[in-house]
Amino acid sequence: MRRKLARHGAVAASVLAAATVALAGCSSSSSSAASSTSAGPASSNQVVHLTITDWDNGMPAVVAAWNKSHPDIQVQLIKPTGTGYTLYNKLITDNRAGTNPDISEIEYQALPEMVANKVIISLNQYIPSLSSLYPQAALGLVQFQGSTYGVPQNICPMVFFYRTDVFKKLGLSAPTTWAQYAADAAKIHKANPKEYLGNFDAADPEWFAGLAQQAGANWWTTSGSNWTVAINDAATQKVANYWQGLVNSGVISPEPSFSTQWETDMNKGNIVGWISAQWAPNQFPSIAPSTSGQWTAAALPAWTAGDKTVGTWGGEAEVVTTSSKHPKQAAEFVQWMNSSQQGLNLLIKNVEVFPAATFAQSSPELQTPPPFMSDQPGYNSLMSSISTGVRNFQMWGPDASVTFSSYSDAFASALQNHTSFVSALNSVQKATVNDMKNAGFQVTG
Amino acid sequence: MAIAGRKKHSSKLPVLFVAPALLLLALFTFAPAIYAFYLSLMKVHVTGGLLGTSTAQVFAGMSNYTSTFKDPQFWSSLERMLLVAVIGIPVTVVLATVFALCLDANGARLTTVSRLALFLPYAVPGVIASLLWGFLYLPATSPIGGGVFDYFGNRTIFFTVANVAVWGVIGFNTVVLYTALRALPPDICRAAEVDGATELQIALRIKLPQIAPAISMIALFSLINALQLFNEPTALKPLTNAITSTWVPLMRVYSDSFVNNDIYGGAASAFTLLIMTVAVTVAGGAVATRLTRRQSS
Amino acid sequence: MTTTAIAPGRMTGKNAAAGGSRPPRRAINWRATIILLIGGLYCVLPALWILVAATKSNAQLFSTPPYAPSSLKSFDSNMSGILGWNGHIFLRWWLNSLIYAAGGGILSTIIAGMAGYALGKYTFTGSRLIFRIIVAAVLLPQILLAVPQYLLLAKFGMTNSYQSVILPQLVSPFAIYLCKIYAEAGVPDEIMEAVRIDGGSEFRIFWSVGSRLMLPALVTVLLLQFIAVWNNFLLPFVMLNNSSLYPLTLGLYGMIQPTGGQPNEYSLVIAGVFLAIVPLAILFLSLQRFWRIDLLSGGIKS
Repeated sequence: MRRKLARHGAVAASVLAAATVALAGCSSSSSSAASSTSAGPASSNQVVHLTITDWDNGMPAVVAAWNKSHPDIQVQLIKPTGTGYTLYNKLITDNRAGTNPDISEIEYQALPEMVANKVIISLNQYIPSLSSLYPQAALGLVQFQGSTYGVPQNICPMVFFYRTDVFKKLGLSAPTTWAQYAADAAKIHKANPKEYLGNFDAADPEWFAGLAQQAGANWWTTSGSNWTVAINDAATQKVANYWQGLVNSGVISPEPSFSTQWETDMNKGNIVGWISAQWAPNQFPSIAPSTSGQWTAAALPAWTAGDKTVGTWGGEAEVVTTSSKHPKQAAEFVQWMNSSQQGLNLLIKNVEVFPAATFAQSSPELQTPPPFMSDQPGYNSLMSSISTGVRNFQMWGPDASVTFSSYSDAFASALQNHTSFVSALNSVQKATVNDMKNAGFQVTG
Repeated sequence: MAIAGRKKHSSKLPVLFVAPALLLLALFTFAPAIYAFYLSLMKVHVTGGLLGTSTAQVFAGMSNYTSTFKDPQFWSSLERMLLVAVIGIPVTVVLATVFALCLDANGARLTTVSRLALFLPYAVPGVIASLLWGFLYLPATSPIGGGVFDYFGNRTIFFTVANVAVWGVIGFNTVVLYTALRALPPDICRAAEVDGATELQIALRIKLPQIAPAISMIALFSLINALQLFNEPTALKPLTNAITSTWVPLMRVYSDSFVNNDIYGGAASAFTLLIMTVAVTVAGGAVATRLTRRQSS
Repeated sequence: MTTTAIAPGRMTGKNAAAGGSRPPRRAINWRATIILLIGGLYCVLPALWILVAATKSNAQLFSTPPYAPSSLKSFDSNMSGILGWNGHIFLRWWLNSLIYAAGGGILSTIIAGMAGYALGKYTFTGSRLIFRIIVAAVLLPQILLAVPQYLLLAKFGMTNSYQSVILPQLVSPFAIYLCKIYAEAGVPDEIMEAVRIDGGSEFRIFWSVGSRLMLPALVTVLLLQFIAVWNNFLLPFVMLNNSSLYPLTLGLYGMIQPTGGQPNEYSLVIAGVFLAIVPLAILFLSLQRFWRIDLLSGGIKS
């Protein structure tokens, strides 16, 4: 409502002395908007208009289905231009101006930061308990200090993808341990010096965080109001040293995932494996279309054989913003989309999500594999079994943005200058702790 | 200079003509700048509870500035920026001058086509620049020897960035100088021609001094642009581990303000850079003015 | 400075019609032509990649050599793909870009032309200070100003609108600087004085003499401003929340963000960029004849 009126003022801007005219014109229109919204929610049969920021391409169908069945609550979809922290930062900035959309998609690692910046609200008074619908691993990502701040949508356990043809030719099978992964990487690179079993991704901290989660790291732990930060803990150092060994011996590509070089190498068959996550089959068609039909998914290699623990890469919840004038209706939509059978069926079909809600993981819609994995009919049941081993940090930090950008810079420099990964970890730890202290959090570490 | 405006008129026209520019500048540049300066003295402070029961903007004194000053990353980002500038500015100014003189030269052919060609890079949006240079520079696809030559090495990266920058702005500067040449009165060149001067002599002895103010202008603006280097390394960043998010000062300002949720620190870094820029620009401007005066006297 | 050297034109209409200041037909200047050719190739070859890439499907993009064109069929399907994407929103973005760039470009050229003329041809109280203040503004990077601009405009409820993108781009210190030095050099005091003696008002002097003699500078400024606004990313990114208000840069950028959920539409985005550059080339070619001002100035002077 407010948005529509504000845009109305645009007409005034067409004259040369636009500044003054527009200023006058718009301040009057915003005051009329304020009066109309204050009168708004009172009458029950008035249509409520909501906006949602969501970057997934398949979302229009989901929103359209809701709008059709809920004439009283009409939702308008906004596809944001930035994703990840560019989007979250914009939400924080816009929150200061009170101009955020009612609902937003947020990755789990950014939720505590959104709460600390008062961008999103607790949903406790608007939605019933989620305990029966989600596993504890998912709830821990959206519930802090007794409040639920979002409804989990999907869960993205890390998965190992490999080129069946290359493995077959060399007589290899999917590695079950990291030691075997390293041996296979060496074998593949030796057989064909142009080929690599995978890449070390210095650009995406979530990738590395997922590997650290599997190894037992706990970057942030809390007790009462106290934070402990341990980004350079022993488990993470183990992961860092392992990958540094692979990179140094030259059997792994140092190019980040989704970079031009990496995509070309994937498509040309120079990179024959990918430590990725459940959503990879959606990406393959644009990354490596000419290798279609050659990929197989397997559980991530483990540190000790038989251990099913796995970290996550990606995954998001839907939240209601502080700016929303209709939090009740917004929460209703969020709950419908991410935790009702109807909403999740639409998401599975249009957005290819693997739902976080336990009941939906056995949906008939998940019986068929994603198109790119059509040779692996059991793809989704493999995902179900892998996701039982998901392990997260106790909680993501309230300034994970700083941790993430510090990771990218420190590890990119380490790769470029051939310096130690562990000292890169130390600098990430230091940057994170300094920022938290500076912001006033009680922190040890 | 001396003649312009010597006669004073009581007309209100000049004031009326400047007013819109000044008003808009005050509203949309200086007011935000003052606000940004205010922000550079603040920070967010969280109190109470795990995630803060209250989150407030509090006065931070000079702490944002001192942390910028104390950060070795800031100083190395300045160094990198200056290195690219030292490579890029002379090349830009010399090439733009040469191209503009060639475009204006008698008997030069293909001028329309080459003018458009020179200008084309300026029209290529940054959105695509990253993809474009990726295909040109990266070993997997490079048609210009990216397979044998590392364009993203610790030293070569500076030339790589400078090349992208020069490529992008050469047309802009050429067009500005060409416009200056087009504004020259035709008679002086004609007189020289009658005296039997060659095209090259006319270009160097007559045209070049005449457009000296315009050349020093593009040099000055190239310098300012170089100090605000941002687009080119940002476009190249996804291609390589060699460029970090704080590779040059404005990239740091960007990540602070648009990614890391620290508009306060970002503003402080920007003003630190600004103060240095003003110092350099005043010095540069003084040198340029002196050169221009010497040439025109 | 240069003004003293300027004498009123003495060109005949015939001479002017034959090609401005240049005497008709000349031997080819090979040196200049070859230099231009090399420079042109240096600039055009990287940009040519966009045209070649627009003929490729996503699969071919990463599998064929970068300068090997693929097929007209892929070109067609890319074009129809981008034009039909997400309910034909590309056309909307294209139109928005045009509104921002034409609105911002034309208005800012007028503003810069007026200010540059006033500062270049008149001395009045504070004129030197005003000029310095305007030029100093060039030192403030947009990255610093964008967020405060947003927060200030939000206080007036003006964000997420056309004017929020146009207004902050209306004043370009560089454009004013350019106009000022051209007014100084290109608008002779003698001609202004002549009109004055004939009883012309100051505005008439500007309208009939100043603005016309400044045409090359104004055309340059319009071109530069138009493209600057057309390609601006940061300001619309900060100001807009509604995809139906997005300009091309913002919309296309959103299409190639790795999201973890959906494939990137590289080939469609390249086709979109191709379509975004075409109007700029047309603008450039149609404006370039205004650089040949001799015809106009000859007319004024006689």
